[in-house]
Amino acid sequence: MAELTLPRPARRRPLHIGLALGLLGTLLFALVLARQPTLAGPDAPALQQLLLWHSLLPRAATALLAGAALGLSGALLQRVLRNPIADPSTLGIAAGAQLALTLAMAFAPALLAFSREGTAFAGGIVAVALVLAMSWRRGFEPVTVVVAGMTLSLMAGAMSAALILARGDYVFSLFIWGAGALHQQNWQPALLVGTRLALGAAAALLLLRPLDLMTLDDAAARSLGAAVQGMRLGIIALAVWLAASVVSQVGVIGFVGLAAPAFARLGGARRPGALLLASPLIGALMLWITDSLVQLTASDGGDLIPTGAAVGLLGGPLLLWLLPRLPVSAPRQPMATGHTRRLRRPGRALVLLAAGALLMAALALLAGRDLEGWALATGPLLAELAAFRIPRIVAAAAAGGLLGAAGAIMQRLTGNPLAGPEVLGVSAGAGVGLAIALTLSPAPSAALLLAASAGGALGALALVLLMAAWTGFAAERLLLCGIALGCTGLAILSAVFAAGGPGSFRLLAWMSGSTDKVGANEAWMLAACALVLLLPVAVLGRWLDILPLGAGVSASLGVPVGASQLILTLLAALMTGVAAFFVGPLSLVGLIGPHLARLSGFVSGRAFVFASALIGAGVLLLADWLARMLAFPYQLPTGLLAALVGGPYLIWLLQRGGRRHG
Amino acid sequence: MVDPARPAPAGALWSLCEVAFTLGERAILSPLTLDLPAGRVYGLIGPNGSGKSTLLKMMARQLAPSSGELRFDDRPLGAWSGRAFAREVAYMPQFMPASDGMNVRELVSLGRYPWHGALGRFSPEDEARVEAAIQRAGLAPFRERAVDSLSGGERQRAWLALMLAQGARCLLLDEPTSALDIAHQMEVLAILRELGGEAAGGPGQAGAMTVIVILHDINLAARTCDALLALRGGRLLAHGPCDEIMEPERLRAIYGLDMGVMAHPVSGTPMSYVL
Repeated sequence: MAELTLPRPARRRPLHIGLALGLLGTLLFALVLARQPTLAGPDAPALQQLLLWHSLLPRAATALLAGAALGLSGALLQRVLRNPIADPSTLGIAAGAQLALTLAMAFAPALLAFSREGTAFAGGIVAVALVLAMSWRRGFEPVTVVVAGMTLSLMAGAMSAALILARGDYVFSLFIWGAGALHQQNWQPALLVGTRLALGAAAALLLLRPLDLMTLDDAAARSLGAAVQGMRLGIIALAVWLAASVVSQVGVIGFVGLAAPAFARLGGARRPGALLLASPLIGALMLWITDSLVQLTASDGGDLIPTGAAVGLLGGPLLLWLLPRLPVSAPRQPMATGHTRRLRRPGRALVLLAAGALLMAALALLAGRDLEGWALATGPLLAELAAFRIPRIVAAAAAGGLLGAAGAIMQRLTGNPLAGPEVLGVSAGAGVGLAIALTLSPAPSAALLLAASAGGALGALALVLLMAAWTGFAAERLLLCGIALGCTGLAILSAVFAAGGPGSFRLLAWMSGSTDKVGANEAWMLAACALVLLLPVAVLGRWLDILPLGAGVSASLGVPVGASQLILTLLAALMTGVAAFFVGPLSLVGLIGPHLARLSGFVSGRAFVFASALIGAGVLLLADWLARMLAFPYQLPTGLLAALVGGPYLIWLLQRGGRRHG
Repeated sequence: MVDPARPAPAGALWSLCEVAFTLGERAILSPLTLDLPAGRVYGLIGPNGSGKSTLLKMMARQLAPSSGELRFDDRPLGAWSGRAFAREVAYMPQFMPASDGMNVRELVSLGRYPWHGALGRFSPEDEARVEAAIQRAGLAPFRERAVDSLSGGERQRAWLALMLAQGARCLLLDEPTSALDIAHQMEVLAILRELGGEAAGGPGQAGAMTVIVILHDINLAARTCDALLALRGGRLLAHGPCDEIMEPERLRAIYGLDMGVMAHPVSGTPMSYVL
């Protein structure tokens, strides 16, 4: 990597940029103030006063203070984890806090009355503890940390979506709030966030010296006498508290914590002191400017999109633009495991796997619950049930197979076992495609939706690859691009939810992965797609063997690197788009299938992809069957169930993967 | 590994014309003009950051030169198709990627890709070449072992075997001995020495391969190579047979150190030492 480090960019003038941003913010806020309708009538001046003092000014203050708190939180996390892309949203803190609040609202409202902030803090702490536990063994390696955080965020998001679906409109308003709306009626949120910010800033000031030491690696810091682990935990708790207090007051506002320190660094802040001072300032300005823009574009009915979603919309591309400029400081770790199991006869094992998947399908077809209890369907009952069960079984198997294969191809393409359609933002892209189709067409046909989903996935993956090509196809950057894109996609989706309308519930149902609406036509269409997309893999096995060795080796062996990557990418994107249409974006099957295939010892590219596909099909069949059976006579969303099974497995896997590295 | 019937080309195998590489403002390699005849072992030497790896990467088509032209076998590098070039030139990067569960035989088989391509059959000849390469690198006992479970030296030899299976006329190696102890270094260098002429009856003979290798240890380089190319600060300081380069004046110019040279007590090849 050393030869890729470019000469340092010429030092900017951070002060000038800051002043310009401040001016821009003031100007926009002045516009917001000027845009207020002049009220007629005798009470007008008083009303205007009221509006100014109790809505506009507190809103601006909340934006500034929340932005500053998030900026400080991000700067602390990035420093302490030595990870340039850590922030409350990529570490799952925000999603965890949100889920805790949603759960509390649905099941224990008294908890919220007692302490919103405490509830959010508990959720955030649990999330960050899980993420850190997942990446502990890999020494908090930046990409692992963020992949774990993103996975957790996605799972928490799926659970929130399922909860909203189950509780209907009651919690739906929570989702709008969840996308970070900054409307204010009084000064209380601003005061609360402000006091937390002041306390946090004071604590950060005291921790300045230890933070300086943390720049070194652990061993060096320890040898200089710093109590590394204790200090690290303390600083993380401080950062989580700052973020949770923001979430509890105004909802999830992503990217500020990520972008503010990054901008500070681009502006030339290097020492922890300068970073910790500049990040909150930049974060405050960012959120203030975005919020003013949101207010300026608002129609009479209210804001077009919540501010949090707007920050995501602006922040995602920003992150994409930043990525090539951020040095990936951590040395590339060999991802391969020290001593892997390998199969003597992969062919025979594949046949066994296929038989297992068939058995699972037969079980799903025959076994079920009726009002009296468990029953095996036979004879006329089977004929009756088959019309309902077969389409679902076919669709689940096809979607699982496609996701498994797509994940396997992406892992080979990036040479990284953490890559997958869910992590790379491809599923979120499919969701954006769906959202566009649902918004534009009042009653879209299934074929149109399928095409929109595949188109969205293709667009997302094309963007990721374009970015990767621009940055030289380093696997880490590909992953990061995908993650940024996934965040942007989810932000767009929450903006669409917040807009309401008939499409919203359909989209929510899709997000949580409900499969009960699948008809025979759709199922067979999906099966045909699966067949068409899986067949080419049979002849592309050699590329899948060579490409993981990196672009250098591939090129020197005469593999057409660009063309082969393009073809495989196209395949993977189509697979994901088609499958995600059926099971939603969050199933994690695309990660689990390939992992299990690796663990079972499939090494050669072709066998690996087909084994992943078969395992994926089996897993999704199982999830679909469980979704029908667990809460009989109700049905749970299949995708959610797969995510709930897959998430913990992934945690365990990340743990285990690290141990082998010692 | 080379077809003995193939005659050594009359002209230079490699010719570089005003080849330069710049990164931003910084010149990594100043314009370089050079002809390298076939069938010899060339050692690229010089201090860290002198542009050795960059030069080798440009020859391997891993980097495009900022200006100038490289020709291989009298054709510009850009005119070669990917697989045709891979049949002629094999390249080993300085850091070998992890090979994720593959065993030695599978890894070495990848070297046949330039011959059979993505869809072609893995023929008995491919099989034979792979087996010969494994034998040649002394890896027969490790044939079925996972590459990642091998020691550093064995892994380096597995990658060397991959290059041999490629059946190329020219090998480009970036510090192939960096991970090895002295005994294994000698082993790898002996293989290179043999490929580069001894087996075919001497340097420059038909059937001798062209080997271009970056080495840090100047004495090992002088022992192994027919000619040395000395780089410093992106410029070619000296180019010639080993005993011409191995002179105190030259060495001081290359490394910026006062160095002496004496004859090896047994073989008589020149050896340097720091004063």
